[in-house]
Amino acid sequence: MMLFCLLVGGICSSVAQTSPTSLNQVLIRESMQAVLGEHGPIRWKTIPIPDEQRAMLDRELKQLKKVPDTLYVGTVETPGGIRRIIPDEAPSRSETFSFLLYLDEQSEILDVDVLKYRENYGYEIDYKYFRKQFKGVSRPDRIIFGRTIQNISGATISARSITHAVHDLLTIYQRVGG
Amino acid sequence: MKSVQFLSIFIFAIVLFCQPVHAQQQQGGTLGGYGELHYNDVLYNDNGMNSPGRLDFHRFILYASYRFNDWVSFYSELELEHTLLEVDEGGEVALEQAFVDLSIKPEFGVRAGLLLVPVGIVNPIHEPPTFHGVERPNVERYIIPSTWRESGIGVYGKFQSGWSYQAYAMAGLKPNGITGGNGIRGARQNGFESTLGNFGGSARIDYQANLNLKFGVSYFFSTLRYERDGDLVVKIPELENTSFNMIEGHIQYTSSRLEARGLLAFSGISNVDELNTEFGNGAGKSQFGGYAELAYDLLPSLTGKLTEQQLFVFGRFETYDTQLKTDLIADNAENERYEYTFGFTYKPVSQVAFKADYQLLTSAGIKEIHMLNLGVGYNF
Repeated sequence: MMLFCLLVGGICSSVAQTSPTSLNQVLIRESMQAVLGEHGPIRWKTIPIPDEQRAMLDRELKQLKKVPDTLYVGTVETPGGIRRIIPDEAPSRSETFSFLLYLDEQSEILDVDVLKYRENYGYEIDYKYFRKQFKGVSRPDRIIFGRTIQNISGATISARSITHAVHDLLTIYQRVGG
Repeated sequence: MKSVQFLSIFIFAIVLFCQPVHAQQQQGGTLGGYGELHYNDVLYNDNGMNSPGRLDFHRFILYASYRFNDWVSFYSELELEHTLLEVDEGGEVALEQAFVDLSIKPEFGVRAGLLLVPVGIVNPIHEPPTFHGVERPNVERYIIPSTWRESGIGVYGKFQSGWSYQAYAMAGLKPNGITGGNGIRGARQNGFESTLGNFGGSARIDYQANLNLKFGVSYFFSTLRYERDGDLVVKIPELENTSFNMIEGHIQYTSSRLEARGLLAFSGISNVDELNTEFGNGAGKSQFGGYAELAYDLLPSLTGKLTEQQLFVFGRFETYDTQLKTDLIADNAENERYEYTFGFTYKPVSQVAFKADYQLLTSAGIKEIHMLNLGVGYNF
């Protein structure tokens, strides 16, 4: 039984943010083109998360089981202003999917774009109807699954997962980089 | 004990091949699952047979998957029903899904293995927190026999416009399993040394119109030429032109507090008189089922807070008839059923559901049963 618990805990928990270098660079460029209208160079920065923030973040995070040591944030200069890109992966029913969180200079969400969704169940989170619920949100406490971010039929697990993942990334970003 | 040994081996195998996906982006395994505990109590039965309530851990399921690279994956779902496998006591260890998936691009993928038949609402997605009521709707038990799976191969895909599709060639039904009372439920081969003498196929199209509304249709057919009883497979010349066809339509509406769903399914058996002459199971010439369900989340009104928790009150009406039409046999009125289910679903988080409902189960044969059901289910 202990082995089983360790296995479930070890495999199903999200423990660290996904590094941008581990993601498909072609998909990142395609996503930037679709969301920002260009795929200019990204300056990636690794922001360390200070110890004094960790205890507070530990209480605020919904999906990440442990506060990561660093946060990867990309910066892109566009005619409309500076844009931030934060990558990560989140669990779907039996897999994980990768996505990019786009923010403007005021830390307001511009979009949440799914890069690679690997299974047939829950793919509805990549539909624009679902994604546009995040647009304009700047406060993590306004990201509540089932309330401010509504479920979409057939994708309960993935919809909750990406909602909590976006909540966690925005929370961390605003504490250390926003 | 066999079931425990089997599960132990399964879990041990997962340990061997699983690695956290975050440690290695291209390869890795994941583990998930769902389960449900039920309490069913018949409070009133026309026939006077009121037995004490039963507490049953109905289903314990583990998913295991493995990603070979960015587009080739394996998925599986293994089920233990009723906690153990005992001769004469029931229980079941069964593989519900196991397939290799080639996700070539979002619009086109290929999968082969043991696949869920893509018909209905509950059959493709049957985790307990995803439906209201302790028990699955009976239309998706007797007309669409969930959990309905079969060996096969097929294609699937989805488009940003909201359209998605699945189309599979798969093993068909065994004709000797079709009965007047249970429809095709006993006719599933379940991927157990399935004979392709009875060839089947299924297709489904869905459309996500907006954030709230999704609807679709599905179709299944099977030839019914070969009798199958254990290892015995015999061609029945009289059933050369006998086949089964089912068409189904479904609609789901979801908003932040309101959930509604509806389903209609109709099926028919050609040359059914020959089928009944051969096996004497009183199969209907056609079958029909439908249900409508409405659920409303009361919690925001009760607490005035924005919380992920939900407390739904729901009602569901179902009607189905496994002998909608008959051919040269008597139509048993007890197979024409009308069922009403009312209750509550409390979700402390979206993946855990505590359920309570009351069911009134009636038939045109004036049979009446009142049931109280309690349950808890989860998925992760």
